[in-house]
Amino acid sequence: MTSQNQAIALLHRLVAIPSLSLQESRATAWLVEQMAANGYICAFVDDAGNAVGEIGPADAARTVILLGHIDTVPGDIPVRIEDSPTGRLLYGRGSVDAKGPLATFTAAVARVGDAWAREHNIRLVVVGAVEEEYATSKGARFIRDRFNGSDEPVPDFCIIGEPSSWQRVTLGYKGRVLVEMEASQPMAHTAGPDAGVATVAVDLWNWVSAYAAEFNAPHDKAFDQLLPSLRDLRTWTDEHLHDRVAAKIGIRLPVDFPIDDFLAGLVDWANQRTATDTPLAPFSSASIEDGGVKRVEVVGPLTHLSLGIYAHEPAWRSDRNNALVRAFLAAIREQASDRGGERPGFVVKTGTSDMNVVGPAWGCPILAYGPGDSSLDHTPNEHIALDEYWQAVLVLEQALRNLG
Amino acid sequence: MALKTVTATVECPECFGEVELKDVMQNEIVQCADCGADLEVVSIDPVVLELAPDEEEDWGE
Repeated sequence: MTSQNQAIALLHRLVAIPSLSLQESRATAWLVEQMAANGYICAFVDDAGNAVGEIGPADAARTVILLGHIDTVPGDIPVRIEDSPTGRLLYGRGSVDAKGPLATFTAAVARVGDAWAREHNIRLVVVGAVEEEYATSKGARFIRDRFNGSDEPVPDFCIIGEPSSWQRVTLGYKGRVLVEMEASQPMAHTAGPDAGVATVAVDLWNWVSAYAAEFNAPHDKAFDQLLPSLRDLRTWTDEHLHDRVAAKIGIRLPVDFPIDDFLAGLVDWANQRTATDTPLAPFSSASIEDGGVKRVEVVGPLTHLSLGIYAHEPAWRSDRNNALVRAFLAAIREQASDRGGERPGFVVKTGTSDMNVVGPAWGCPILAYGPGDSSLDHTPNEHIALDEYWQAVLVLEQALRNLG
Repeated sequence: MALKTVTATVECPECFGEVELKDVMQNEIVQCADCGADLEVVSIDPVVLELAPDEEEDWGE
């Protein structure tokens, strides 16, 4: 049985081991050792580099996958525990996003234990996935494909490890697509009649903004809206005497967004903007599924334009009435009764997570859970309250037992 | 978790109208037909309804 001090030591050490995306191997090796030492019957680094630990029978009637991620974004935050008026705080990159939730998974499943899992014929699989913070989501895709219903069973329930605070569960994440555009034109004098190649990027941004405004008109909530952001914009003149502009636009997508209609509109825009004699044909979103990249070029009398569309993840949202949500509501209410009656809450997020990768494939009840304030994600002030972390361990332990 | 269900008529904590429950489970979320409020069955013995958890939006990931 993992104690509070042991659980805190687990998180502290895990945060102290740097694990930038693509550099997770030290942390995964260490976490697997901890799983094995804490009663997991099976603990290993899989072929994708994920840390995996399991309890319960391999052929159990039900399988629960607890999919956290072990990689972090860059940022060297000195790892330390500080006292505060509200209790002890652990500072460090990944303390919230998402080693806090991953350590919560690891400790709670250790507390549930293999004997209980066998008695209730349930298999619990904890995954510390790699490359969640990277556009590839390599670790989650590997797990998705492993539990595909033929090699391994599609899970009955899935819990994603992301911060939501101890008393809330996350029901959904928006989707995402990235659009890169580069255009070039022969150098021209700025006093000439052409407005300059940079206006191609401005026109693209204006087209995307107008598309989003029209789409969003009937929708009040950010989760239901199309949310574009201009992430990069550069101009330069190359050695072949061409003026060039490059832009990158990220677009957060609502559930069931008609991405093919958007792509068709984008192709129309490119054809019209370049006034080409050889227009691009529309292409389907199938070409950008599962991490795919679609690159197209269109050449007009003046402007050469290329588009790259990639990192597409559809939005995903779980319903509120299923056994997994009920298990968490009951567990949160039970723990809340000891903390002055705080109420459980639901949240939907405008970001993306590995829920977007596995949710559509598995179609099982799914939610995200984990301690921490997600507004601290990726910030230089990232820290987690250790009391909240322990509270989340107890909530998750009880929620898993409620599924038994 | 016990899959016990219950059928009952109870008072809506929001509008005090009658809410008819049929085969509901603990922590299931139902809707009041009168006022439309989302309600959680926080207990089935006795049957107790509370306003369901709010759904917030958050920009995190």
